Amino acid sequence: MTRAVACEDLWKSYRVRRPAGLRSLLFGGSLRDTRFARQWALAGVNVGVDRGQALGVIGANGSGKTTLLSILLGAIPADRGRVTLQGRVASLLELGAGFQGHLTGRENIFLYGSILGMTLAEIRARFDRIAEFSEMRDSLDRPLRRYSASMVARLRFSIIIYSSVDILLVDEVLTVGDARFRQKCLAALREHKAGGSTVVLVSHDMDEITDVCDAAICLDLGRVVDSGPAQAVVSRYRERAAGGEGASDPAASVRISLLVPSRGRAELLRRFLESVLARTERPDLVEVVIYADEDDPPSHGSRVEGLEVRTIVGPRASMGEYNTACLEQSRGDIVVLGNDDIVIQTQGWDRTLREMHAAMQDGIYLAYPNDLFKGRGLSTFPILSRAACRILAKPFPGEYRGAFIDYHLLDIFKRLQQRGHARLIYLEDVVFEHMHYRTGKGDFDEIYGKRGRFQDDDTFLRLRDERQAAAQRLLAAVEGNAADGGERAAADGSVPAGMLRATLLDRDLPPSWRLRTFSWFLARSIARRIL
Amino acid sequence: MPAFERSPRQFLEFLYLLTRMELKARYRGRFIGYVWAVGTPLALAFVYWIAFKVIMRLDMDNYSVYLVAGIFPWTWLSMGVTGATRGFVANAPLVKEMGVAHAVLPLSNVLQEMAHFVLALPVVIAWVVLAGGYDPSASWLWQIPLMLALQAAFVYPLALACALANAYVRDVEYLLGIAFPLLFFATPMVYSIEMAPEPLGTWFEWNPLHALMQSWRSVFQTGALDPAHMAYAAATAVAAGAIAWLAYRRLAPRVGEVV
Repeated sequence: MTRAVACEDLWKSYRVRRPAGLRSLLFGGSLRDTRFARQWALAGVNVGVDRGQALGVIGANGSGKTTLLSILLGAIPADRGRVTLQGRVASLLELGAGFQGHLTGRENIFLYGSILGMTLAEIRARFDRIAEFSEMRDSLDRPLRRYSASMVARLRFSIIIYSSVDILLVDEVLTVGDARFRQKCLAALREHKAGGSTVVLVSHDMDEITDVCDAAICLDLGRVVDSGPAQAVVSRYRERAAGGEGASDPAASVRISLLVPSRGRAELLRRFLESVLARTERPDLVEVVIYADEDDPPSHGSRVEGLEVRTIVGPRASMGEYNTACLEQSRGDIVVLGNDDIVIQTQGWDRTLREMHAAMQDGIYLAYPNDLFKGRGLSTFPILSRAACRILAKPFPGEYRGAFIDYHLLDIFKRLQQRGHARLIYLEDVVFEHMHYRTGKGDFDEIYGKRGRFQDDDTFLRLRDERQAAAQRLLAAVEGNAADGGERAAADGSVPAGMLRATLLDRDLPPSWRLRTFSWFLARSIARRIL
Repeated sequence: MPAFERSPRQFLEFLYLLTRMELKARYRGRFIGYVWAVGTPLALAFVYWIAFKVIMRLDMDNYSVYLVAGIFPWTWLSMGVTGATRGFVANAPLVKEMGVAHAVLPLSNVLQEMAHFVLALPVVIAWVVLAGGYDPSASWLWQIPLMLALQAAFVYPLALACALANAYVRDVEYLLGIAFPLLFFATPMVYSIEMAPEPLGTWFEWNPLHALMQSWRSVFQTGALDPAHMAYAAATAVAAGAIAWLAYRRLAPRVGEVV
């Protein structure tokens, strides 16, 4: 039997565009932004339907059903994956009627029939049958805007069922209209199918699914979580629905580690921990790993009731070493590099992270929350999967004494982006408010005063080759190849790279990022001479 | 990515249906529809005639013919482009379902406005002959169809490019609202180019719209066509076509997502 519909490894994320405006076009912000706001609609979906069969698609709201149909229809492109369709496709999508309100029903039959690929002659030949099926022959000369919603739905269904398309995509529309007409539609669908056509039916009405469909799939958060004969999938879905939520949620057991180096700021640390506890949906899945200096006893005992907090007490070290020590002691699947001057402001932030993590199957991403300071521009508080940390080997190099770890990671993922894999995820809706002294929300305390302001600039430039090698390994992991060992060895003996070479002239980076790092380091090196 | 391959014939049939039905909807069952299509540009010409001829005493022979011969093709151009620009957003459901047929929608807008223009042509010619006292010219029989084709080729890429841009950046619609009145005076439409002080006059000469509109006026007023103007307008149409084609290839696939 031939496959009428086949999709392989379909991925789709929605870019949340700001209300498009000239400002965003002219001043920063390209149209190719890859921001993420829980909009990963499909994550590796496979679907196959044989000719003359009907597939039901079920799942909660927002699980990706409509996106799947829109991609099958060709109305929106997938990010990745293949879609093969044998024959002409038509849809009854909930959104997008394809009708013109100021035209009459009669005119819309012609126009819509033409959209569906019927020739004028065919439409004329079938016009009477369409009018008959819709049961509104008397209203056909009125403009469509005077029709009720159910009349419009009836008209559309009637046109489609007579358009002799090979593949019919139906999304929820049968719910409009009275019970009798709905039965008539279901009968027509079954007849359509018996005539050798293929049907994909999205519905929340399980009886509809079992009535029309042979097989079914169940989507959750953009993944196929169940598939098989329609009857079986529906009954399992009902069981799960009865058994409470979360049973099918792949994100349910993902653990999160917050890494927090702290020194001499017990008060801030306490404020941070309280915000974690207050805003976390599942505190049992979150752990906080703190690094405190041996000579800073007030920070050693920070904990709050109801949250797993572990404190590493060790010698004074560099920021990178603090972070690495925390990473080694952490157990979560998601690693968030935080700081003690954060206040988490988003209720259920952990759920967003888990969902995002679940949607990124290979775990290769650099996500970062909105710090209400640097925002989209910088991954101040990087979020990595443990898998990515492993591939990066040293995600937080010990060479960095205080700063630039955010730039370091962002730079690596910019390199990956330049190779065609945009895995930077800005979680605008997850707010980790940064109470940095420069925002006026914190004090300029001795932590900043003691720190050399430019000590890490050279480190960043020097580690250029290491970043390039890390990006190579990520690329290999994303594309599923074995990592290239040779490249890695070559990069280990990293030579000091000139500023130009690591920024403006570095062809492994996107041009905008090259320009930005170059101007940033240029400005800093000038400032360094003056100050 | 088209939902399924459509034959050129299917595209043509759809274009025909859409254009005919929109026209029918506009003129449906009432003579008043035609009165509006002809009356609006005429009224506009009358307003400029009052303002410039009567009040500001513009010294120009047959000023009313100059206005009428320009304003009707201008209306085609500006209404076609602005209508098409709103088209994708206004017809979002249609766009979402149609896959790659996007290019048909602005084409339909341009053809609709062209049809209004053709229907208004008898009025324009009557004005030129009766009010202006020009003799009807036999050469109009080939000049007018040629100009119709040239202007359609000129307007369509503009309409397509603006419609695509507006799908992504809604401000385009408002920018056009500023651009057209500005171009109206920079073409120029209400005074002759010789009246513009230097260097404005020279700049206006470079305005492709000037070449197009001047060609229309010379057809009606002298029965002659300036090959240089024609060539310049045609070259612009080709260049605009290339840009619109590039924009279409790059921007069309995601239009269904952004409208």
